[in-house]
Amino acid sequence: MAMLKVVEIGDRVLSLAAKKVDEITPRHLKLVEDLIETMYGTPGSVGIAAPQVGVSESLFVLDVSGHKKTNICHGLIAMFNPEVVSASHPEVIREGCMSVPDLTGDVRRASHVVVAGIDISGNEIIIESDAFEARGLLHEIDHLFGKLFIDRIDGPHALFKRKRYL
Amino acid sequence: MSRFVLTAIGPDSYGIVARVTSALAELNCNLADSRMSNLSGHFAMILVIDGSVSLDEKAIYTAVQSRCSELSLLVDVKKIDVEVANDLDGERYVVSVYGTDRPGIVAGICDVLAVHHANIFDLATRAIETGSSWVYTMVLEVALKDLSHLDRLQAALVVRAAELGVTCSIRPSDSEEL
Repeated sequence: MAMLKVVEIGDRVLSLAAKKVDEITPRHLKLVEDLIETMYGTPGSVGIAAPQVGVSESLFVLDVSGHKKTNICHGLIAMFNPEVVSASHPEVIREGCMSVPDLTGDVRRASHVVVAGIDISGNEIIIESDAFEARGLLHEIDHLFGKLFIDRIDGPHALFKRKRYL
Repeated sequence: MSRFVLTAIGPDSYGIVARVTSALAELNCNLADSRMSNLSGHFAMILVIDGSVSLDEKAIYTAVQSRCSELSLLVDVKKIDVEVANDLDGERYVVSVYGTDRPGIVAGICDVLAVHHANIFDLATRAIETGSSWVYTMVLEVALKDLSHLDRLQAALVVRAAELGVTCSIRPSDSEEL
């Protein structure tokens, strides 16, 4: 396993729609391991998508266990080719992102979601979740469609400078 | 590199931002930071601009005014220091204030914030007409470096708000890493 370098806003890979993974190979499984290490090894981070380490393929990992805003929790999730099946009950929360280290922003996202994708064994999975896990799923899936939280910001005064912590 | 602050304000109309920023782009200036908003029908801009060392205040002023002559803009350009501390430290809090409009609400609340070393990052006010009276609202984002001030700050805000006849609350401005 290895900590991977996280690319930051301005890198074109963050604006690309990630390629779907047709076949999960040992390279993909290694990438999953490295993404997990990078996520757990970055203070405060609860998820990371492959484009954030420069790989434009449809894959993310997420683990919101223990977060104060978590309700439903599936523990560690690694998902290929995720799609949002349904999303409802929007709420505004201030978000940060490893790839946008100097800013936070108020972002409106659904707090109930159903997401479908493929697990590391190649099996189709459907995850229904709410609260912070729902937000994490939507944030990571956005990365796979070339979107940052800034694309969903609640208005020009909803973007905030912060100290770079990472 | 030289750094300037440009302020411009005038009756709102189409194209103010486009014209001002086009003039600056032609001077090869970068907009390092900016805030722009419609304030009671006047469009107000404050821009921090970086340009070449050969650029001066007059050149920027003249370029902007020549583009915007029919817009009745009040424009001011001043050179400022490039190297100033931009302290983003501290825990962030949002302060909300509202109540019947009267002189001194902003001054009264901000005086309390200053005394307790709450650094203001952002502040916006709105006056709203409701029936026969005006309600004043103010929302601030502040940073507190020393959280031992928080309890005293909260207590002092409650007292000052009561004196001003307004409601005031302070809450953490959480952001969630994803």
